Amino acid sequence: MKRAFDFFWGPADPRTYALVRIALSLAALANLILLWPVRDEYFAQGGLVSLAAARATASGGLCGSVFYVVSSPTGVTIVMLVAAAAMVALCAGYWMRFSAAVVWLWHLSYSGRAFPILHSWDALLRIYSLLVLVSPMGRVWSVLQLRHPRPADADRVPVYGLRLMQWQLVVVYVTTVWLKLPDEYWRNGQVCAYFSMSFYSLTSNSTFFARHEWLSAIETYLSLAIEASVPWLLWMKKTRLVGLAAGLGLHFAIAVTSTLAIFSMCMVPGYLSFLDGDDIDRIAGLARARPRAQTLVDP
Amino acid sequence: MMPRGRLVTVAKAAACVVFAGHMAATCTQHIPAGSALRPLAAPFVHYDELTGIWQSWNMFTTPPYLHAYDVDLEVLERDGTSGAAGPMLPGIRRYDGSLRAESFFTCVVDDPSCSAYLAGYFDRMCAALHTRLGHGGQRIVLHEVYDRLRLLPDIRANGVIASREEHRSKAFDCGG
Repeated sequence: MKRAFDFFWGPADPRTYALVRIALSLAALANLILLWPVRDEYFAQGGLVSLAAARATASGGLCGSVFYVVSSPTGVTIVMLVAAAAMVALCAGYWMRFSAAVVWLWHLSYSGRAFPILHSWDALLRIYSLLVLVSPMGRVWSVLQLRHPRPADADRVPVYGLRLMQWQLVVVYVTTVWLKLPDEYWRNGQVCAYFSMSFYSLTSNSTFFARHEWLSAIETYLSLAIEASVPWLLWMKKTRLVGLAAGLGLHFAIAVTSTLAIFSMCMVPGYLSFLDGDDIDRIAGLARARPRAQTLVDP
Repeated sequence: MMPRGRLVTVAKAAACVVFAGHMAATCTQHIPAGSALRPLAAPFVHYDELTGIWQSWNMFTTPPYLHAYDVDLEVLERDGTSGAAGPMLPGIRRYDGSLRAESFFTCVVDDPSCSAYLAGYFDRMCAALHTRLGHGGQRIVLHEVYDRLRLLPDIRANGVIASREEHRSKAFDCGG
Protein backbone atom coordinates (compact mmCIF):
# COMPACT_ATOMS: atom_id res chain seq x y z
CA MET A 1 0.00 0.00 0.00
CA LYS A 2 2.81 2.36 0.95
CA ARG A 3 4.63 1.50 -2.30
CA ALA A 4 1.55 2.38 -4.33
CA PHE A 5 1.25 5.62 -2.36
CA ASP A 6 4.91 6.49 -2.97
CA PHE A 7 4.60 5.58 -6.65
CA PHE A 8 2.37 8.62 -7.07
CA TRP A 9 3.31 10.85 -4.13
CA GLY A 10 7.05 10.27 -3.93
CA PRO A 11 9.38 13.23 -4.54
CA ALA A 12 10.36 14.49 -8.00
CA ASP A 13 12.72 17.14 -9.27
CA PRO A 14 10.68 20.21 -10.30
CA ARG A 15 13.06 20.72 -13.25
CA THR A 16 11.55 17.65 -14.94
CA TYR A 17 8.12 19.26 -14.87
CA ALA A 18 9.65 22.46 -16.20
CA LEU A 19 11.31 20.60 -19.07
CA VAL A 20 8.05 18.89 -20.03
CA ARG A 21 6.15 22.18 -19.77
CA ILE A 22 8.60 24.00 -22.04
CA ALA A 23 8.83 21.16 -24.59
CA LEU A 24 5.04 20.81 -24.71
CA SER A 25 4.55 24.57 -25.17
CA LEU A 26 7.02 24.69 -28.05
CA ALA A 27 5.48 21.65 -29.77
CA ALA A 28 1.97 23.07 -29.32
CA LEU A 29 3.10 26.43 -30.69
CA ALA A 30 4.74 24.78 -33.72
CA ASN A 31 1.51 22.87 -34.39
CA LEU A 32 -0.57 26.03 -34.05
CA ILE A 33 1.73 27.88 -36.46
CA LEU A 34 1.19 25.09 -39.00
CA LEU A 35 -2.58 25.35 -38.54
CA TRP A 36 -2.64 29.15 -38.68
CA PRO A 37 -2.73 29.55 -42.52
CA VAL A 38 -5.52 26.95 -42.81
CA ARG A 39 -7.65 28.03 -39.85
CA ASP A 40 -10.58 29.11 -42.05
CA GLU A 41 -10.50 25.78 -43.92
CA TYR A 42 -10.91 23.66 -40.81
CA PHE A 43 -12.41 25.71 -37.98
CA ALA A 44 -14.55 28.47 -39.52
CA GLN A 45 -17.98 28.40 -41.12
CA GLY A 46 -17.69 28.18 -44.89
CA GLY A 47 -14.60 25.96 -44.60
CA LEU A 48 -14.16 22.31 -45.43
CA VAL A 49 -15.43 20.85 -42.18
CA SER A 50 -19.14 21.17 -41.54
CA LEU A 51 -20.02 22.31 -38.03
CA ALA A 52 -23.24 20.27 -38.11
CA ALA A 53 -21.24 17.13 -38.93
CA ALA A 54 -18.76 17.87 -36.15
CA ARG A 55 -21.63 18.30 -33.68
CA ALA A 56 -23.31 15.14 -34.95
CA THR A 57 -20.08 13.18 -34.46
CA ALA A 58 -19.79 14.48 -30.91
CA SER A 59 -23.47 14.08 -30.02
CA GLY A 60 -24.21 11.67 -27.21
CA GLY A 61 -20.69 12.08 -25.91
CA LEU A 62 -18.96 14.63 -23.74
CA CYS A 63 -16.61 16.08 -26.36
CA GLY A 64 -16.68 19.86 -26.26
CA SER A 65 -15.23 22.59 -28.41
CA VAL A 66 -15.01 26.36 -28.26
CA PHE A 67 -15.51 26.21 -32.03
CA TYR A 68 -19.06 24.89 -31.57
CA VAL A 69 -19.97 28.43 -30.53
CA VAL A 70 -17.23 30.44 -32.24
CA SER A 71 -17.37 29.87 -35.99
CA SER A 72 -16.72 33.22 -37.67
CA PRO A 73 -13.29 33.69 -39.27
CA THR A 74 -12.57 36.58 -36.91
CA GLY A 75 -13.64 34.56 -33.89
CA VAL A 76 -11.44 31.63 -34.95
CA THR A 77 -8.49 34.00 -35.39
CA ILE A 78 -9.02 35.43 -31.91
CA VAL A 79 -9.26 31.96 -30.34
CA MET A 80 -6.00 30.96 -32.01
CA LEU A 81 -4.25 34.15 -30.91
CA VAL A 82 -5.36 33.55 -27.32
CA ALA A 83 -4.13 29.95 -27.53
CA ALA A 84 -0.78 31.10 -28.96
CA ALA A 85 -0.40 33.66 -26.15
CA ALA A 86 -1.17 30.94 -23.59
CA MET A 87 1.51 28.69 -25.12
CA VAL A 88 4.10 31.46 -24.92
CA ALA A 89 3.07 32.18 -21.32
CA LEU A 90 3.22 28.49 -20.39
CA CYS A 91 6.66 28.18 -21.93
CA ALA A 92 7.86 31.24 -20.02
CA GLY A 93 6.23 30.00 -16.82
CA TYR A 94 3.87 32.92 -16.51
CA TRP A 95 0.31 32.40 -15.19
CA MET A 96 1.13 28.75 -15.60
CA ARG A 97 -2.05 27.02 -14.40
CA PHE A 98 -4.32 29.38 -16.33
CA SER A 99 -2.15 29.13 -19.45
CA ALA A 100 -2.07 25.34 -19.20
CA ALA A 101 -5.88 25.30 -18.99
CA VAL A 102 -6.19 27.46 -22.12
CA VAL A 103 -3.68 25.27 -23.99
CA TRP A 104 -5.62 22.13 -23.04
CA LEU A 105 -8.95 23.74 -24.09
CA TRP A 106 -7.42 24.73 -27.43
CA HIS A 107 -6.36 21.15 -28.13
CA LEU A 108 -9.76 19.80 -27.05
CA SER A 109 -11.51 22.41 -29.19
CA TYR A 110 -9.77 21.91 -32.50
CA SER A 111 -9.84 18.13 -32.08
CA GLY A 112 -13.59 18.23 -31.52
CA ARG A 113 -14.16 20.61 -34.42
CA ALA A 114 -12.12 18.98 -37.17
CA PHE A 115 -12.02 15.26 -36.46
CA PRO A 116 -11.21 14.17 -40.07
CA ILE A 117 -7.91 16.07 -40.14
CA LEU A 118 -6.48 14.72 -36.89
CA HIS A 119 -3.21 12.85 -36.67
CA SER A 120 -1.42 11.08 -33.86
CA TRP A 121 0.46 14.20 -32.79
CA ASP A 122 -2.84 15.97 -32.10
CA ALA A 123 -3.66 13.24 -29.57
CA LEU A 124 -0.22 13.60 -27.99
CA LEU A 125 -0.70 17.35 -27.58
CA ARG A 126 -4.22 16.91 -26.20
CA ILE A 127 -3.16 14.30 -23.66
CA TYR A 128 0.08 15.89 -22.50
CA SER A 129 -1.54 19.31 -22.16
CA LEU A 130 -4.09 17.73 -19.77
CA LEU A 131 -1.30 16.05 -17.81
CA VAL A 132 0.69 19.29 -17.57
CA LEU A 133 -2.47 21.05 -16.39
CA VAL A 134 -2.99 18.65 -13.47
CA SER A 135 0.71 18.37 -12.57
CA PRO A 136 2.64 20.38 -10.00
CA MET A 137 3.94 23.51 -11.75
CA GLY A 138 6.57 24.92 -9.42
CA ARG A 139 8.53 28.05 -10.31
CA VAL A 140 11.63 26.41 -11.74
CA TRP A 141 12.80 27.80 -15.09
CA SER A 142 10.06 30.41 -15.18
CA VAL A 143 9.95 34.18 -15.49
CA LEU A 144 8.80 34.30 -11.87
CA GLN A 145 11.91 32.48 -10.68
CA LEU A 146 14.13 34.62 -12.86
CA ARG A 147 12.72 37.82 -11.39
CA HIS A 148 12.28 36.71 -7.79
CA PRO A 149 14.28 33.55 -7.03
CA ARG A 150 13.46 31.78 -3.77
CA PRO A 151 15.35 28.95 -2.03
CA ALA A 152 12.10 26.92 -2.00
CA ASP A 153 11.96 26.90 -5.82
CA ALA A 154 14.17 23.78 -5.92
CA ASP A 155 12.05 21.89 -3.37
CA ARG A 156 10.87 18.45 -4.40
CA VAL A 157 7.31 18.11 -5.73
CA PRO A 158 5.00 15.07 -6.00
CA VAL A 159 5.81 12.74 -8.87
CA TYR A 160 2.25 11.76 -9.87
CA GLY A 161 2.11 13.93 -13.00
CA LEU A 162 5.32 12.43 -14.35
CA ARG A 163 4.05 8.91 -13.62
CA LEU A 164 0.95 9.56 -15.74
CA MET A 165 3.08 11.01 -18.56
CA GLN A 166 5.45 8.04 -18.41
CA TRP A 167 2.54 5.62 -18.50
CA GLN A 168 1.17 7.39 -21.57
CA LEU A 169 4.44 6.97 -23.45
CA VAL A 170 4.59 3.28 -22.50
CA VAL A 171 1.04 2.82 -23.83
CA VAL A 172 1.95 4.60 -27.09
CA TYR A 173 4.87 2.28 -27.81
CA VAL A 174 3.37 -0.97 -26.54
CA THR A 175 0.23 -0.36 -28.61
CA THR A 176 2.04 0.59 -31.78
CA VAL A 177 4.39 -2.42 -31.58
CA TRP A 178 1.41 -4.68 -30.87
CA LEU A 179 -0.29 -3.39 -34.02
CA LYS A 180 2.79 -3.42 -36.24
CA LEU A 181 4.16 -6.85 -35.43
CA PRO A 182 1.50 -8.91 -37.29
CA ASP A 183 1.95 -6.88 -40.49
CA GLU A 184 3.84 -8.77 -43.18
CA TYR A 185 5.72 -5.68 -44.43
CA TRP A 186 7.06 -4.90 -40.95
CA ARG A 187 8.04 -8.56 -40.65
CA ASN A 188 9.84 -8.74 -44.00
CA GLY A 189 11.57 -5.40 -43.44
CA GLN A 190 10.12 -3.57 -46.44
CA VAL A 191 8.25 -0.81 -44.60
CA CYS A 192 11.08 1.73 -44.71
CA ALA A 193 11.55 1.22 -48.47
CA TYR A 194 7.85 1.93 -49.07
CA PHE A 195 7.88 4.83 -46.62
CA SER A 196 10.84 6.41 -48.43
CA MET A 197 8.84 6.51 -51.69
CA SER A 198 5.54 7.61 -50.14
CA PHE A 199 4.24 11.15 -50.08
CA TYR A 200 5.32 11.39 -46.44
CA SER A 201 8.96 11.22 -47.53
CA LEU A 202 11.04 14.24 -48.48
CA THR A 203 12.77 12.10 -51.13
CA SER A 204 9.76 10.25 -52.51
CA ASN A 205 11.20 9.99 -56.03
CA SER A 206 14.28 8.11 -54.89
CA THR A 207 14.29 4.33 -55.34
CA PHE A 208 17.45 3.91 -53.25
CA PHE A 209 15.85 1.75 -50.54
CA ALA A 210 13.96 -0.31 -53.12
CA ARG A 211 17.27 -1.06 -54.84
CA HIS A 212 19.04 -1.73 -51.51
CA GLU A 213 16.32 -3.62 -49.71
CA TRP A 214 18.73 -4.95 -47.09
CA LEU A 215 19.16 -1.37 -45.83
CA SER A 216 15.38 -1.02 -45.59
CA ALA A 217 15.26 -4.27 -43.60
CA ILE A 218 17.90 -3.04 -41.13
CA GLU A 219 16.13 0.29 -40.77
CA THR A 220 12.70 -1.35 -40.33
CA TYR A 221 13.89 -3.86 -37.72
CA LEU A 222 15.93 -1.22 -35.90
CA SER A 223 12.96 1.12 -35.61
CA LEU A 224 10.78 -1.76 -34.35
CA ALA A 225 13.47 -2.75 -31.84
CA ILE A 226 13.71 0.84 -30.60
CA GLU A 227 9.94 1.20 -30.30
CA ALA A 228 9.70 -2.11 -28.43
CA SER A 229 12.56 -1.35 -26.03
CA VAL A 230 12.33 2.40 -25.40
CA PRO A 231 9.70 2.29 -22.63
CA TRP A 232 11.75 -0.22 -20.63
CA LEU A 233 15.09 1.47 -21.33
CA LEU A 234 13.63 4.78 -20.15
CA TRP A 235 12.07 3.18 -17.09
CA MET A 236 15.37 1.77 -15.76
CA LYS A 237 17.74 4.37 -14.46
CA LYS A 238 20.87 2.59 -15.72
CA THR A 239 19.67 2.52 -19.32
CA ARG A 240 17.68 5.76 -19.33
CA LEU A 241 20.08 7.89 -21.30
CA VAL A 242 20.53 5.07 -23.83
CA GLY A 243 16.74 4.92 -24.21
CA LEU A 244 16.58 8.69 -24.55
CA ALA A 245 19.28 8.71 -27.23
CA ALA A 246 17.72 5.77 -29.14
CA GLY A 247 14.18 7.18 -29.07
CA LEU A 248 15.08 10.77 -29.82
CA GLY A 249 17.47 9.50 -32.52
CA LEU A 250 14.61 7.62 -34.17
CA HIS A 251 12.38 10.68 -34.05
CA PHE A 252 15.15 12.96 -35.29
CA ALA A 253 15.57 10.64 -38.29
CA ILE A 254 11.81 10.76 -38.94
CA ALA A 255 11.86 14.56 -38.66
CA VAL A 256 14.67 15.12 -41.18
CA THR A 257 13.52 12.57 -43.77
CA SER A 258 9.76 13.10 -43.82
CA THR A 259 6.98 15.65 -43.58
CA LEU A 260 6.29 14.46 -40.02
CA ALA A 261 8.71 16.68 -38.09
CA ILE A 262 5.83 17.99 -35.99
CA PHE A 263 5.06 14.43 -34.83
CA SER A 264 8.65 13.99 -33.67
CA MET A 265 8.48 17.29 -31.83
CA CYS A 266 5.30 16.23 -30.02
CA MET A 267 6.94 13.01 -28.79
CA VAL A 268 9.65 14.91 -26.90
CA PRO A 269 7.63 15.88 -23.76
CA GLY A 270 6.86 12.21 -23.11
CA TYR A 271 10.55 11.31 -23.21
CA LEU A 272 11.54 14.18 -20.92
CA SER A 273 9.04 13.01 -18.28
CA PHE A 274 11.33 10.04 -17.53
CA LEU A 275 14.30 12.18 -16.51
CA ASP A 276 15.11 12.62 -12.83
CA GLY A 277 17.36 15.20 -11.22
CA ASP A 278 20.51 13.10 -11.68
CA ASP A 279 19.78 12.64 -15.39
CA ILE A 280 19.27 16.37 -15.85
CA ASP A 281 22.56 17.06 -14.03
CA ARG A 282 24.36 14.48 -16.19
CA ILE A 283 22.98 15.93 -19.43
CA ALA A 284 23.79 19.47 -18.26
CA GLY A 285 27.29 18.26 -17.32
CA LEU A 286 27.77 16.75 -20.79
CA ALA A 287 26.58 19.97 -22.39
CA ARG A 288 28.99 22.01 -20.23
CA ALA A 289 31.89 19.62 -20.87
CA ARG A 290 31.72 19.92 -24.65
CA PRO A 291 32.52 23.65 -24.97
CA ARG A 292 35.32 23.27 -22.35
CA ALA A 293 36.90 20.44 -24.37
CA GLN A 294 36.76 22.64 -27.45
CA THR A 295 38.42 25.48 -25.54
CA LEU A 296 41.29 23.17 -24.56
CA VAL A 297 42.17 22.32 -28.15
CA ASP A 298 41.65 25.80 -29.53
CA PRO A 299 44.89 27.72 -30.08
CA MET B 1 -13.14 15.99 13.58
CA MET B 2 -10.34 14.43 11.56
CA PRO B 3 -6.87 15.96 12.10
CA ARG B 4 -5.50 17.86 9.08
CA GLY B 5 -2.65 15.39 8.47
CA ARG B 6 -5.10 12.51 8.34
CA LEU B 7 -7.34 14.42 5.95
CA VAL B 8 -4.40 15.05 3.62
CA THR B 9 -3.50 11.35 3.67
CA VAL B 10 -7.08 10.37 2.85
CA ALA B 11 -7.19 12.93 0.02
CA LYS B 12 -3.91 11.65 -1.38
CA ALA B 13 -5.14 8.05 -1.19
CA ALA B 14 -8.29 9.07 -3.06
CA ALA B 15 -6.12 10.78 -5.65
CA CYS B 16 -4.16 7.53 -6.06
CA VAL B 17 -7.43 5.83 -7.02
CA VAL B 18 -8.12 8.58 -9.59
CA PHE B 19 -4.59 8.25 -11.02
CA ALA B 20 -4.96 4.47 -11.28
CA GLY B 21 -8.33 5.01 -12.98
CA HIS B 22 -6.71 7.40 -15.46
CA MET B 23 -4.05 4.82 -16.26
CA ALA B 24 -6.72 2.18 -16.77
CA ALA B 25 -8.66 4.55 -19.04
CA THR B 26 -5.51 5.17 -21.09
CA CYS B 27 -4.94 1.45 -21.42
CA THR B 28 -8.36 -0.15 -21.84
CA GLN B 29 -9.34 1.89 -24.92
CA HIS B 30 -6.69 -0.05 -26.87
CA ILE B 31 -8.22 -3.45 -26.17
CA PRO B 32 -9.35 -4.80 -29.58
CA ALA B 33 -13.07 -4.56 -30.26
CA GLY B 34 -13.40 -8.32 -30.64
CA SER B 35 -11.71 -9.13 -27.34
CA ALA B 36 -13.70 -10.55 -24.44
CA LEU B 37 -12.00 -7.90 -22.29
CA ARG B 38 -13.24 -4.98 -24.41
CA PRO B 39 -16.15 -4.24 -21.99
CA LEU B 40 -13.49 -3.06 -19.54
CA ALA B 41 -13.19 0.10 -21.66
CA ALA B 42 -16.88 1.02 -21.40
CA PRO B 43 -16.81 2.70 -17.96
CA PHE B 44 -14.11 5.09 -19.15
CA VAL B 45 -15.64 6.27 -22.44
CA HIS B 46 -17.09 9.50 -21.08
CA TYR B 47 -13.96 10.19 -19.05
CA ASP B 48 -11.89 9.81 -22.25
CA GLU B 49 -14.18 12.24 -24.08
CA LEU B 50 -14.33 14.80 -21.30
CA THR B 51 -10.59 14.92 -20.71
CA GLY B 52 -9.59 14.47 -24.35
CA ILE B 53 -7.45 11.38 -23.74
CA TRP B 54 -9.14 9.37 -26.50
CA GLN B 55 -6.36 8.03 -28.66
CA SER B 56 -5.26 5.53 -31.26
CA TRP B 57 -1.66 4.65 -32.09
CA ASN B 58 -2.18 2.87 -35.39
CA MET B 59 0.25 5.13 -37.25
CA PHE B 60 2.06 3.25 -39.99
CA THR B 61 0.92 -0.13 -38.75
CA THR B 62 0.95 -0.95 -42.47
CA PRO B 63 3.32 0.65 -45.00
CA PRO B 64 2.07 3.79 -46.76
CA TYR B 65 0.38 2.91 -50.04
CA LEU B 66 0.53 6.19 -51.93
CA HIS B 67 3.39 7.88 -53.74
CA ALA B 68 1.27 10.91 -54.58
CA TYR B 69 -2.26 12.09 -53.98
CA ASP B 70 -4.36 14.73 -55.68
CA VAL B 71 -8.03 15.62 -55.70
CA ASP B 72 -10.22 18.00 -57.63
CA LEU B 73 -13.92 18.69 -57.99
CA GLU B 74 -15.80 17.72 -61.13
CA VAL B 75 -18.70 20.04 -61.84
CA LEU B 76 -21.43 19.06 -64.26
CA GLU B 77 -23.87 21.80 -65.23
CA ARG B 78 -27.52 21.17 -66.12
CA ASP B 79 -26.85 22.01 -69.77
CA GLY B 80 -24.34 19.15 -69.96
CA THR B 81 -21.18 21.26 -69.85
CA SER B 82 -18.59 20.15 -67.33
CA GLY B 83 -15.39 21.36 -65.78
CA ALA B 84 -13.01 20.94 -62.88
CA ALA B 85 -12.68 23.18 -59.86
CA GLY B 86 -10.47 23.30 -56.80
CA PRO B 87 -11.89 21.34 -53.85
CA MET B 88 -10.64 23.59 -51.05
CA LEU B 89 -13.02 25.83 -49.11
CA PRO B 90 -13.41 28.70 -48.61
CA GLY B 91 -12.64 30.08 -52.02
CA ILE B 92 -12.92 26.94 -54.24
CA ARG B 93 -9.11 26.75 -54.35
CA ARG B 94 -6.79 24.03 -55.61
CA TYR B 95 -5.89 21.11 -53.34
CA ASP B 96 -2.97 22.35 -51.24
CA GLY B 97 -1.14 19.01 -50.92
CA SER B 98 -0.95 19.22 -47.11
CA LEU B 99 -1.26 16.19 -44.81
CA ARG B 100 -4.32 17.75 -43.15
CA ALA B 101 -6.15 18.22 -46.46
CA GLU B 102 -5.19 14.72 -47.63
CA SER B 103 -6.58 13.33 -44.37
CA PHE B 104 -9.80 15.26 -44.85
CA PHE B 105 -10.45 14.17 -48.42
CA THR B 106 -9.47 10.53 -47.97
CA CYS B 107 -11.70 10.45 -44.89
CA VAL B 108 -14.77 11.94 -46.55
CA VAL B 109 -14.41 10.06 -49.84
CA ASP B 110 -13.18 6.66 -48.68
CA ASP B 111 -14.30 6.19 -45.07
CA PRO B 112 -18.01 5.55 -44.42
CA SER B 113 -17.67 6.91 -40.88
CA CYS B 114 -17.02 10.36 -42.42
CA SER B 115 -20.20 10.39 -44.53
CA ALA B 116 -21.73 13.21 -42.46
CA TYR B 117 -18.67 15.34 -43.23
CA LEU B 118 -19.00 14.57 -46.95
CA ALA B 119 -22.63 15.71 -46.99
CA GLY B 120 -21.71 18.88 -45.11
CA TYR B 121 -18.80 19.54 -47.46
CA PHE B 122 -21.00 19.17 -50.54
CA ASP B 123 -23.60 21.53 -49.06
CA ARG B 124 -20.95 24.18 -48.53
CA MET B 125 -19.39 23.62 -51.94
CA CYS B 126 -22.78 24.01 -53.60
CA ALA B 127 -23.30 27.30 -51.76
CA ALA B 128 -19.83 28.47 -52.81
CA LEU B 129 -20.48 27.52 -56.46
CA HIS B 130 -23.82 29.33 -56.37
CA THR B 131 -22.12 32.47 -55.06
CA ARG B 132 -19.36 32.31 -57.65
CA LEU B 133 -21.40 31.30 -60.70
CA GLY B 134 -24.65 33.01 -59.84
CA HIS B 135 -26.70 29.85 -60.23
CA GLY B 136 -27.13 26.41 -58.70
CA GLY B 137 -28.20 23.06 -60.07
CA GLN B 138 -24.75 21.56 -60.57
CA ARG B 139 -23.90 17.92 -60.03
CA ILE B 140 -20.56 17.61 -58.22
CA VAL B 141 -18.15 14.75 -57.60
CA LEU B 142 -14.83 14.60 -55.77
CA HIS B 143 -12.27 13.09 -58.11
CA GLU B 144 -9.22 11.54 -56.47
CA VAL B 145 -6.08 10.73 -58.41
CA TYR B 146 -3.45 8.71 -56.68
CA ASP B 147 -0.17 7.13 -57.56
CA ARG B 148 -0.23 3.81 -55.75
CA LEU B 149 3.17 2.37 -54.82
CA ARG B 150 4.08 -0.75 -56.79
CA LEU B 151 5.68 -3.81 -55.17
CA LEU B 152 9.44 -3.56 -54.63
CA PRO B 153 10.39 -6.25 -57.20
CA ASP B 154 8.32 -4.39 -59.82
CA ILE B 155 9.97 -1.07 -58.94
CA ARG B 156 13.40 -2.65 -59.22
CA ALA B 157 12.47 -4.18 -62.59
CA ASN B 158 11.86 -0.92 -64.43
CA GLY B 159 12.28 1.95 -61.95
CA VAL B 160 8.61 2.95 -62.10
CA ILE B 161 7.58 3.74 -58.51
CA ALA B 162 3.81 3.90 -58.76
CA SER B 163 0.81 3.27 -60.93
CA ARG B 164 -1.96 5.81 -61.44
CA GLU B 165 -5.44 5.15 -60.08
CA GLU B 166 -8.55 7.27 -60.05
CA HIS B 167 -11.49 7.19 -57.72
CA ARG B 168 -14.66 9.22 -57.53
CA SER B 169 -17.00 9.96 -54.65
CA LYS B 170 -20.71 9.51 -55.06
CA ALA B 171 -22.27 12.37 -56.99
CA PHE B 172 -24.14 15.15 -55.23
CA ASP B 173 -26.92 17.27 -56.73
CA CYS B 174 -26.74 20.90 -55.70
CA GLY B 175 -30.42 21.49 -56.46
CA GLY B 176 -32.08 24.86 -57.15
